[in-house]
Amino acid sequence: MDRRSLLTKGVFTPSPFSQGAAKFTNAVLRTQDNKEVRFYDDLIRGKQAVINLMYADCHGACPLVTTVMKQLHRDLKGRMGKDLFFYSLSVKPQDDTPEALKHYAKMRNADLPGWYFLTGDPYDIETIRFRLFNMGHIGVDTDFAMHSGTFRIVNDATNWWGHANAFTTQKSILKRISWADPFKTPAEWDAIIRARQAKIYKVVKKHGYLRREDL
Amino acid sequence: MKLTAIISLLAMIFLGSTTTALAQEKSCSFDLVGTWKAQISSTEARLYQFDDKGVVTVLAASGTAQPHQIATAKYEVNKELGKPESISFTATGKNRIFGSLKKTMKIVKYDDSSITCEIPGMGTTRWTMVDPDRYFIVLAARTGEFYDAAGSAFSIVIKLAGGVPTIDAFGIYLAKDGRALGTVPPDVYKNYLREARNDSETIVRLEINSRQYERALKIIKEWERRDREDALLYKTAAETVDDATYLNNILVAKAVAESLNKCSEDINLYPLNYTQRDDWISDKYRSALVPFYFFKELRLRNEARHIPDKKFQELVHLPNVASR
Repeated sequence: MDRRSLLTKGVFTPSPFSQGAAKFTNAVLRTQDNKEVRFYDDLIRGKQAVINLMYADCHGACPLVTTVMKQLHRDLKGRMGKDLFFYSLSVKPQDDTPEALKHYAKMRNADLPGWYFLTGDPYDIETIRFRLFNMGHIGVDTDFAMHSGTFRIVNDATNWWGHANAFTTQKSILKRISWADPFKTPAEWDAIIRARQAKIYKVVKKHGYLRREDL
Repeated sequence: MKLTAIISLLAMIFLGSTTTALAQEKSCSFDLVGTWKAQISSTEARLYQFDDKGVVTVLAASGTAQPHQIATAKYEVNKELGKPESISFTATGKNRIFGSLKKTMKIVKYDDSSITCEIPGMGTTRWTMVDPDRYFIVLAARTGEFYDAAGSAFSIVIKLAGGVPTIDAFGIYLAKDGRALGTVPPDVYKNYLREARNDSETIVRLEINSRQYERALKIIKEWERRDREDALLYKTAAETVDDATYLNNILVAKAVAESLNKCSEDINLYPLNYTQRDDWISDKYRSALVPFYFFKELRLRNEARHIPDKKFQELVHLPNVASR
């Protein structure tokens, strides 16, 4: 099976400093559509990703975090599935079949483009969980529920590793995701600054002053 | 600001409740295959040999006489929501099982080595697992071997079948070129299959049952695989590379010790949970020394069950160590 045909190929060139599969692992996982994917090659390589931990039968933080991700997905719709992806990784892979994850995603209207719910061998999931979310503290790291309110934000092209609290404001999470955005050329920055300036002129022209929320 | 505080508080409550629910899980696997003994009187017992094809053979054992077969039957474990509820028996041929052709007994409780059942019209009976093999766990640690004053710390599991021990060990040990985390070689662990030398060494030796052995062995095998496949859980830790090795070893020591109590509170386990309220070891000592003090505390708490050196040497003959 050509796994690459299932997902968009990475749009960025991986950073020469990326530790690649050695860090992320190349474990074989399954999506909610029962498609086989390799964690680094198919999901991380040359992409920007927001990753969270969940399980289908969770009635605590997981549904709340899924709702937050739905709002983020709405705000980032233009990029989702192109250069930005959401990965919800099941920490109860022994219970969460692809069908169970599909059901979870559908129930919460979260079966959206560029958002994959992932399950796999418990051995691999545990490795990925530690590689992405460990805090260097046994008490925190052995309790997988402790990470359910955290997003891990990575960009393999910039070798950026960040995180965001899922229960902070939408604006704050979006800002943290943007920190992992690919590097921009001076010309691109120039275009962004010009667009912002144009927006400011427009607001000032309309209201006579610049409001805080317009920034 | 206020809204953020409320949302954070709600999140903490949610996370807290999930954590508590998960921490309270205790599960015993139910596996009937094997031989179970029911003591009828001080001299008489019944042996039930369950095979994996759904057939049970009943043997009568009396005094020192050789057990003899008295019945055979087909059996089926009836489960509800994945939990075993009862065992149904159908006698084969001219046999009778519990005095009739068909009988269903309700499973009242079970753990690693016993099952208590209720047979209609006959009352409650307790079966204990009969295992010709013996199983041991040895938790050994030293200090003052490495540059940072820490030392070897590893878990050893032993299966004694027909007088031949099969030994598996994993943890940190002193290799020729320094400290190593991995499968402990026989010439290293042999030094620990005797009484501790002094205060810089601690050794706990306990006899365990087959299920406890299997669980502990599974953890050791998983970590051997992690070592082989470069899939150790802490790779480059949040702190330093040295700490990653020690943190991995704590995970193994903790998992192996906790696996003994997965089904029931069999040993007096120290709560290595990194909360200041319960766990003074992780609070007081750095990662490198945690396994040593953890094993030392386990020895103190389980002194009555610790197998003395002389007795252990009689049981486990090192020249007979089986190779894997």
